Amino acid sequence: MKLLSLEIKQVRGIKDLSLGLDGKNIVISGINGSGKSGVVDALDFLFTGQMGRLIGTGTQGISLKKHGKHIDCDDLAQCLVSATVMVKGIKEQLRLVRRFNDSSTLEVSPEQFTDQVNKLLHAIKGQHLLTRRDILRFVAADKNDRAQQIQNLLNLNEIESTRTVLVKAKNVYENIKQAANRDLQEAARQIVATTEIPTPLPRTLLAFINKNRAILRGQPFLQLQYLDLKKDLSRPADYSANSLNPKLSAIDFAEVIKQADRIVTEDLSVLSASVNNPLTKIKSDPLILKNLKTRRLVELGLELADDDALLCPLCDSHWTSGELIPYLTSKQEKAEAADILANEVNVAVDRIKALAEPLKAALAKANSIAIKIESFAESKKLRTWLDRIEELDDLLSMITDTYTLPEGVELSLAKYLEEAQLAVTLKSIQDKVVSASPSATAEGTAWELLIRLEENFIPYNRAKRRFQIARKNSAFATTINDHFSQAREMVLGDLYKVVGETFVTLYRELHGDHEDRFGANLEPTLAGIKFDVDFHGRGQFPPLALHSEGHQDSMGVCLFLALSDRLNKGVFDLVMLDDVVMSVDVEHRQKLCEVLRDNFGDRQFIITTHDKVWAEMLRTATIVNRKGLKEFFNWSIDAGPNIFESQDIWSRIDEYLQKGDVSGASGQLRRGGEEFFHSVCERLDCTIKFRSGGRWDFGHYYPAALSGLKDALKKARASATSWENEVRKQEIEQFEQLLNEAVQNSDVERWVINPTVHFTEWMNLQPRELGKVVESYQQLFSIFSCRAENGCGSPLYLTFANMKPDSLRCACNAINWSLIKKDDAG
Amino acid sequence: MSDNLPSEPSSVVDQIFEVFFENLETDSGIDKDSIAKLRKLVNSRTIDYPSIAKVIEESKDV
Repeated sequence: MKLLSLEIKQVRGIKDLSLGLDGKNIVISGINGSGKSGVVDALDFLFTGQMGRLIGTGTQGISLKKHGKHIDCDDLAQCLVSATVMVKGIKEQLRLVRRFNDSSTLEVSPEQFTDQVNKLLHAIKGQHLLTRRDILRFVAADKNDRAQQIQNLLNLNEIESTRTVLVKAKNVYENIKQAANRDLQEAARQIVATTEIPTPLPRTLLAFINKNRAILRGQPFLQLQYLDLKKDLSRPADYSANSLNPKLSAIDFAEVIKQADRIVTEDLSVLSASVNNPLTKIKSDPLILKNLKTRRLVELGLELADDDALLCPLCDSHWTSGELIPYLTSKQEKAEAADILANEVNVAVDRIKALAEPLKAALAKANSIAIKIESFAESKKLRTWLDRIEELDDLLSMITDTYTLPEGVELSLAKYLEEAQLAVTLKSIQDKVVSASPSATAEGTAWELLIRLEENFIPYNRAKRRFQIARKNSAFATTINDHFSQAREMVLGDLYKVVGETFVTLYRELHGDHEDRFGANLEPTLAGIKFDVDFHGRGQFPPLALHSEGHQDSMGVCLFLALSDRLNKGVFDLVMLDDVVMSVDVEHRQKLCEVLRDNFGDRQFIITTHDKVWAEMLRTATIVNRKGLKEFFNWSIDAGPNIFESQDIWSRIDEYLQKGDVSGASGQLRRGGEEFFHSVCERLDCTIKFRSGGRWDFGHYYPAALSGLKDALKKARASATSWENEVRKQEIEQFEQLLNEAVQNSDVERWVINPTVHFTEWMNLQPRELGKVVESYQQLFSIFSCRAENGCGSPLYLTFANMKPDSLRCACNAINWSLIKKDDAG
Repeated sequence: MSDNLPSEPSSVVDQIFEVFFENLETDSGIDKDSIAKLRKLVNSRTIDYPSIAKVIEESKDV
């Protein structure tokens, strides 16, 4: 897409502005507050329905509808940006309009191309504009923040939210599988306890069942079954559900000992710390806890909100189109760190439960035997321990519900899970069982064993089915997550490789011989992007670590251009660079012009800068022609920026003269003269007489500009004399002579005495006579520019060192005259 | 009138999903029904945890 024309009405600091571009580059220069960024904001709004400047960190309370429009315009339908564009593949010119009263709608005519244009703009969303703020985000950010910025540029938020969902699914289903496996192992262990078969298999279980059926004089089963194990058997006469069987109670007590021994082998202090440590981290940052609490709410919000949500589905707050979902997504991503800590807590709690729950079950069974045999003292001891384990249960539930512990409490598992006198207590109960029921029969024991095994099979089969489902789900979740990660890594890896290589090439071109061995490493990490750059062959470091601010700025520009080259080439040719060379020095600005010219000739650039010299360099490097140089000045809230197009004044005056319109030509000459010398005064740091209201005209600007140039030439001549540079001295003297001649020829001194009079006099001239005046002025104007053979013709400017002018230069450096005398040189 | 309409640019996001589905279909062992459901979620831009969980729980063995 290329921009042919642009109209901005009532947007930011612009009242009504039209720019003709014809698909070519433009450079908008002007001091801070001259309104140039208003053009960038307007284009941003046209293409995205948003303004990047009004979104993101530090913009709370700022909205597009309130702060994107002109402050004095209350009719949002009148606040609009429109453009004529050419889109690749469409022969017709398209007209695009976006209004503030319906910012989510882009009007496209002819209407039939609406879908294509919207898809195109959706795909490039955010990839057309680089601001200095973006550069800092790219270069100075840590790897996760940088990833966020580059993800924004690549529209990867959808990929990252998908990744987050798939990672969560993988973890959740893995946890469910592990819990199901623990239940299955526990159920299997109960079978082992009943049968005393160390590794039960269908064959050995069948043998066990048939052995006990044989004792009860029953027919053997031909294959293992899990229900009705006492089929066709009669209950032994001596069996009672309430009777105690010393052999079986010994098995039950052995199970308690076994479970207690499992705990003894654990390092309870380490296990306690595995819960306490993440809880301490969560407690140390209230934001983490808040994120955990609001996580579900945010997820619900994302489920309910649609792409262009204007109303929050949860609280009915009004949102600018397209801003709610990124806001909720960023909150969800911030909760990811909290999720990791919460997961650590959950895993540790599950491990503790895996120890405590079988112990609790075994203790409950032992206690029921103690009560049956009326061994109350021992039962009291077992009950006390059971109470402590139940207290632990409550505490663990509280932890997984709230991720907090009561104030001053720290989890200490030894308090709940250690019992010194267990073996003695259980032996005492068993002794009582043996003395009370010394003669349990083999039939009674067999009957009881078959009952127990039936009871064991029920939870075992349930746990087995649950585990099979959990294993299937976990395998599925892991597979899609792994495949997605591989796809992401592959595509992004390739992308970052190409972008990294282009970045290095551009950076080397920009920095020339100094950085001919420069290298960089740009690669995706799990949730971030690693970006290290070479520092003079001493290794690779983050850009912020060792490089100067100017180098960091040029890295940001190169990285953006490399990304843009990879992503938009041939699709969306428009690139906006908003004041991106603030910290880059003059030499590298010149190089950047060459980089843009040599590598991005097929792009249409809209460049804003407060630096007129760089604007001239861009013209000299043929990135922009004279017509494309727009200087914004004298911005006012009522009128917006004035645009100075001095490069064009001669052709404009000529048009008037051709038509015989002396009045129009005179007006253009006067206005053009004011604009030109305003610009010269700024470049040569001239002093203008104070005037209340801050409005100057030709009569004020011209003498100041002439005096400024004469003063600079005088200093340059003195410097050349002090260095005994005769050639330079002669060059300067010739220049001074030319200047004096041009001043005399233009008879300018006569006009500046009384601008009103001379303006009136011009209007009384014949076109041919005014043409001569125009010719002499053109010669005068040219004196303030580079006149070297094969020179650039760009306006002369001063450079400064320690706040003092130190050289007079032009953009191509054909004029580069020192103003410092030999004795004053440092 | 145009004779060559601009095609929707293949964004990085689209490329990642393309490779994802290509690999799922080739070597994941995931059943076709489940892949179709995942594709529907991606196309309708509704990939969230509840919808993914539903596809997972309705899936066949991998």
